[in-house]
Amino acid sequence: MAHKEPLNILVFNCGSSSLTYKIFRVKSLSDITVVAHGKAHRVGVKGAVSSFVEHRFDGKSEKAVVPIASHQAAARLILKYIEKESIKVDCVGHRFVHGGNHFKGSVLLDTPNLKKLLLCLPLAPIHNPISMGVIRESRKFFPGLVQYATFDSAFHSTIPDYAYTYALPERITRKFGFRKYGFHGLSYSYVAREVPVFLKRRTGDIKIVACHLGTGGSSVCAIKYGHSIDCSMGYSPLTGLVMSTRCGDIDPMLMLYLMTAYGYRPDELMDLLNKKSGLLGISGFSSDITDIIHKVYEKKDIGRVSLAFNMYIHRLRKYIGSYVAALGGVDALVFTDDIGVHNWRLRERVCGGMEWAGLRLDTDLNSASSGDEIVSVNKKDSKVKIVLLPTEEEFIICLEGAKLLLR
Amino acid sequence: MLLILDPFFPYLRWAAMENGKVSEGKCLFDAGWLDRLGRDIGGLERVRSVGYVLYHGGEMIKGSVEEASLESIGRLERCVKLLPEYNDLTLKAVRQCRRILPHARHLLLCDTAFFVDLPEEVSTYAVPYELRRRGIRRYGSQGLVHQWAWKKICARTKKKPARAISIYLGNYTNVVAICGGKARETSTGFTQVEGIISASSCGDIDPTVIFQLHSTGMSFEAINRLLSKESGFAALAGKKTELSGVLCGGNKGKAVALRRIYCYNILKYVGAFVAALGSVDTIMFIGEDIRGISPFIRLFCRSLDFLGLKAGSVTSGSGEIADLTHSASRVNVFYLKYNKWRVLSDWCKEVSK
Repeated sequence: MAHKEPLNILVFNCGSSSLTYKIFRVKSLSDITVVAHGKAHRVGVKGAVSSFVEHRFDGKSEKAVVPIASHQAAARLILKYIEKESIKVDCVGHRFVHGGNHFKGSVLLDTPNLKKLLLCLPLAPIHNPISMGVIRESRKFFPGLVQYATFDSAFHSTIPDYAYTYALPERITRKFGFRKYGFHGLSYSYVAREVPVFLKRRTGDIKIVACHLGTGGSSVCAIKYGHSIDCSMGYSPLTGLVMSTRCGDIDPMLMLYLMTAYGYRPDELMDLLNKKSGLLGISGFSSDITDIIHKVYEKKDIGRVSLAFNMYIHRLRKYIGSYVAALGGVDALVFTDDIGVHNWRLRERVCGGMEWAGLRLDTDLNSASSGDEIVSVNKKDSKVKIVLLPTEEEFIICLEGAKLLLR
Repeated sequence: MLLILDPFFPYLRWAAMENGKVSEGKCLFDAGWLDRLGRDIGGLERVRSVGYVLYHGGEMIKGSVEEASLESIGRLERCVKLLPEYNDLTLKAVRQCRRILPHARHLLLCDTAFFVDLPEEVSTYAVPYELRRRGIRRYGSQGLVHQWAWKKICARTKKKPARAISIYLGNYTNVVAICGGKARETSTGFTQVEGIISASSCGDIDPTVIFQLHSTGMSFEAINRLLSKESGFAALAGKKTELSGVLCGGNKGKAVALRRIYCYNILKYVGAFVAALGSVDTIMFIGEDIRGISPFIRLFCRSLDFLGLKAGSVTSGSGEIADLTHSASRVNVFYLKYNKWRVLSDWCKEVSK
């Protein structure tokens, strides 16, 4: 499988309020190293702290505090940095969250596939358009380079029918492709790959509840023997947990009620539920859980900010409970992505009173963990291991690209 | 005589109870309904108290049972809009009966009152908080049944379960978490559509679905009908199906799929509510004495093995409450046979105590 020249793959990973990039040098599928990496933070976020972009390359690091209005703008900043530092790029990989029924695996972005991507935009109204913006920007910047997309939906293709079916008439579900798809598949496939190794368990006999808690979107996934069996996100990434600006689970009839009783237009309402709800909508203060936790523990606010925090925790605990039941018991609870690994207070609240599931958090280990490497933070006698795993979505995206190109 | 009126738009279902004898019926709610009802029960003058089922008391009616005084009727008027057809029927029935039977006792039996004081983080949706102020919240349903079951278990075991999960199995199945006698969670949301799939409604689905349907030109009325009347058991079975049809649907493709989905729906809520309560000591199943219910409960309990729950079978002739708890079980399991009029009359007696 060895390639003559090492291949440099630039990977873009759009979170709903961040844009991460990594440049990998791929010699073979088993020899992949990071050349440069960085992240644009708080892209398009309204909050107490301003947005910034950071880069790490060749032992240097650079940080610039600048307003970043969109993901496309963030991509432009990153591409200019790559140009400035003359870093070689052979190929660009993109994360695309929702491929619907159009894409079952990673694809090269040729004209027909780009057209099909456009059809997927409304499926994930926050994510898909911002990924599209980044794809446009990098095609403009690197007109001759091969670009490919990797889809989050792939890992969830093992969810059984009784978990993915919406109880709507078949003529409707078939026509529109309505079902649960699940998201954050790249992150969960990394969990399913790394956690058994870390715990020295066989993939085939470990049941995992994984919480991907990001600065924008968050979800929970039940992983049985290496396969996803359920995920809190559904047809779109709107459902499930309380997120930064997304409402998560609501009564579907509320949509109709708000449109008929209060006269919301459908597009207005989708905007409200996707961009003005969640932590931001409840707290009226910030869409960032870190801001909110800070305020709650400083006891500066009470009321709506505390309510937002309590709702976040309550919903997350409910999903963990649901998936423990779905799995018929659990061996490991995993926290991943930025919020998951960096907020010990959040984990302390989530894991409190979970002894019924065999889960006992070591509060000292938990608060001392840096979140920069994989670590377990459960008490010794805890039946369930509690694992913090910094996510490596970019690595999975790179691997997918390497498989496409080195085939 | 105790008369209970239960709105079933455009009808009123009624039951008259005296000395342990029950007669029941259904009458169209028109100008002559009281005269006809009077004839059916052998004279209105025999009625000493009247109970009125109120399906949606919003945040206005806080007691599961309360006197239908002028003051409470004032509050009732303000929650008609929450469930217009049904609540309007209740309101009109109360007004007319109070006029015709001035000496009888009039009682409101409110099905959502149990959930009025849910913790705020439970009752609130993560939408802009202004909407919560306008009444957008989780209201719950069938509080009368769940609270009744909890009281029955207390009386039976002579102690109060600290953390209980109550599962109502019916055409509108729902799950409630009860902590020390107070509702702590419910699978029912702003409407009964949210939660577990029902005979004709879809249960939890992604709201983006509605946006997609609308964008292809489907009207609000059509979407409303689709989600609340053409989904659930009916959609999955491909024909009108009651709970007994789900439980005894045989072992062919669609029937098995429907049963699995139904079961999995309930299982996920039970798991979620154990987490919400922080543990569970009692699980109560409430259901009509229909074919297939006992095997279903037995099978369902097996999926709760991870809680250390072990249950025996429902034996015939076990009366209103069957204790299914196996001696090695860490969780108590009960099955309560549900009879609507029995539950409602127990509530009316509660006040006269």
